[in-house]
Amino acid sequence: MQVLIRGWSARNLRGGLRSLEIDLGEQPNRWTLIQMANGMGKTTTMTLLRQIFTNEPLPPAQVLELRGGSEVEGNFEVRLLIDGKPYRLGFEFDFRDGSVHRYTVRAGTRDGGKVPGRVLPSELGDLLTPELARLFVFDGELARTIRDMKQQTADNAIRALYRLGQITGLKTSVDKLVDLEQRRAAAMTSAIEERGMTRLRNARDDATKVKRRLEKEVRSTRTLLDERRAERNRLEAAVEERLSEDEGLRERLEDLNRRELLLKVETNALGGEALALLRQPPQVHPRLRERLQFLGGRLFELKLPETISSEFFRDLASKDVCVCGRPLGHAEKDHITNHSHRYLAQDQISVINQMKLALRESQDEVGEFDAKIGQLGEKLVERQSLKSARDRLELESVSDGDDDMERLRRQLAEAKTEIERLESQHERLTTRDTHRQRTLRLNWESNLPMCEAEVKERDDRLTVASNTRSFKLKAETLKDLITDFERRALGRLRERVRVRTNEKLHQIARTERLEVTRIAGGLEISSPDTAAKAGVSEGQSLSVAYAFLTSLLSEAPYRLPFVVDSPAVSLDNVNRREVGRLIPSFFDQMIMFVISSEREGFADTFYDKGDDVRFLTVIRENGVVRLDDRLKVFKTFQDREAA
Amino acid sequence: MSFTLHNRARTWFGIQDQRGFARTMDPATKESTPRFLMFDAFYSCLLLGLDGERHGRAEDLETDEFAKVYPEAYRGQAELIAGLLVDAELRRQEIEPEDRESIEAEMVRLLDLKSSTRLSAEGDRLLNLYAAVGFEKLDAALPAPDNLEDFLVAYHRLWGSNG
Repeated sequence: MQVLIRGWSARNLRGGLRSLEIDLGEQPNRWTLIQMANGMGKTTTMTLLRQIFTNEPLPPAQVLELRGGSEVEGNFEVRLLIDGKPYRLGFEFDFRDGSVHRYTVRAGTRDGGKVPGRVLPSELGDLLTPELARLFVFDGELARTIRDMKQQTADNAIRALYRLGQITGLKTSVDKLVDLEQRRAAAMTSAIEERGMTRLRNARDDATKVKRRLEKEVRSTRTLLDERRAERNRLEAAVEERLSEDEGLRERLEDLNRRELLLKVETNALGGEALALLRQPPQVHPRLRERLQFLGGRLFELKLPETISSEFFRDLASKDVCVCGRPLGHAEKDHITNHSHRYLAQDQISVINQMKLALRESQDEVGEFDAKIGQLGEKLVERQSLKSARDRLELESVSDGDDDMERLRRQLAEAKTEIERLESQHERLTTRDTHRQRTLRLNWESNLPMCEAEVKERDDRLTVASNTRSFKLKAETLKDLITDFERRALGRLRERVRVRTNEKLHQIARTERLEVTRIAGGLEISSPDTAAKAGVSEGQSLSVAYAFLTSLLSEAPYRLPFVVDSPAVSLDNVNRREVGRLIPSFFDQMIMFVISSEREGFADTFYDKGDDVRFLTVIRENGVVRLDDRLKVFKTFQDREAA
Repeated sequence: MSFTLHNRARTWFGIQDQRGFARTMDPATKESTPRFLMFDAFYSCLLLGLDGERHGRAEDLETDEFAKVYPEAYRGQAELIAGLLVDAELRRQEIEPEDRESIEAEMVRLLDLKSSTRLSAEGDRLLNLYAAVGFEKLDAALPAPDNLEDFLVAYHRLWGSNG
């Protein structure tokens, strides 16, 4: 990705920026030297260029300081070429309240060009941080801080340009995943640490103990129930046997048994047939049949369902001409569509027709339910009568002084009562019917299926907590790996930049050879054969900074312009020539603000570079600022300070 | 569709393992006794409800449905039950038999061929409300029986006594 500056303009700003237009051309020259006197707005221009590339907010105090006259509004705009596409980034200042409005103008976009804010290709937008802007719109302060090992200037520059922040961002993503997993787990348990795990394990074990107790109770209840049922059967058989010992009673008893058995079979058969008839609504009661017939009759008389369905009207609304031949306009179509829902849909018509058919088919079979219930009623009467007969038989035996019979009947009654109690207990222990569980007010400590569910839930909680803890530990390991990867990446990039920096330093700083021995936050500098160098001149600092920045920027995956203010003012003549000869070749575009004293030894190295270089001189005459692009003016311009 | 019972119906019908009158059933004769379905319980209440002119209360229904479709034993009855619902709604709203437009509007509101009950979502909702009020009638009129035969005879008698 390549970014080039095509120019900038300023309006109503202080210094020489009341009305200034710097045009570097549609395709800017590789090098531009802009000569202007101090106080003409170089520092302001550099600051605004740095800020316009980033999303850094401009405080109102700074905006108010930019005010150049009585005008209440001002403007600063930079024109760019990003991968060949034109962009304009701008500030509109309001000096009444110190506010600023950012905007972007993009050619050939659907939004018609001007949009609020800084809108750049996303890759570039993320890259252009204030830290990076200080590198390519070069901040002279950087030349001093870049050597401070306590500050992170050099490291931050490497991190920003090679986007190591994205690797750091991976750790944030891992944290988010862990957080997500923990939140998911929190729905079931809050325990992730070992102490919580123990608590969950104990809770699961407690429920398991209760489950074992309930299983034991179920087994013992079933055993008791089986025993009591066997006892009941034995007692019933004993009663019968006792009765059958009496010859007179035996015959009656056998007859009773035979009739009871037969009655049971007949009752079941009739019950099944009656139930089948109950499932046919017209059979249940004549009133239901009459209602269905009446409804069918009404539908017939009212000609419902219509042969015309709602679908017909919806189709009609899509036509331009009605079936009657009249044209259908928007109003007619809307009316037809809005009223079509009042008509039955085709499928509803089908339901009604099926309903009418079902009604017709069911009419021949009425009255069967009545008949079956009549027969069933007779059987119930007979059942009651047989039960009474059996009671009488047993009572006759007792009244004949049969003490055994009396004892057997008493024991049988007790057995039945006990069976009822045990059945109830068994139901409480084993019912899976949730509604029944609620009715009986059961809980996991009294009902086995509920206890099994509780054990499973507690076991799940334990598993989830255990998995979450394991997940978190794995995430920590992954983050350590990322940190290690980031450290190694930074280390290798530092070394790569350091070697390149030294190659350039050997060429620039010829008067005293300097070397970067280590990059760790800042740059550690030494002279060959001496230890770390403490005292370094301003010129040497600048040489080191240039060598570092050009190594960094020229090999980075992004091709950015390099803008610098007074690039050679603190260098001696030898170093100036080397800087002038070496540094500009590393950039696709370099814009240099120079003062007249930098012409000798620096600017003059560009005089013979032909069309690749443009020389601009900003001149203020009688309070009016104008731009001159002639080399001869550039060569001879004398600003007040230099003069 | 979702069929939902009145929240006291399970106890009244002695439902256990999806079967009515099961709690008092002798295990020895369970297999030979006709199976009274949960849907039979719902349907018995529904017919009583549809015979009247009012809805039951949604808050009296169980929170969970017990079935989504008609059981096999009710094959072919969906259209008739839908017809009874339409009839009940026409009576409840006192729609005149000659009021063709209102009758058609009710059918539009209540019917849907695509549903297994042949009823729209609104129709299904009303079915549950009619079944709920039907249960109230049943519970008020009869003591809870402990076998199918007693229930069938008593249910039939209840229809007779309702005029």
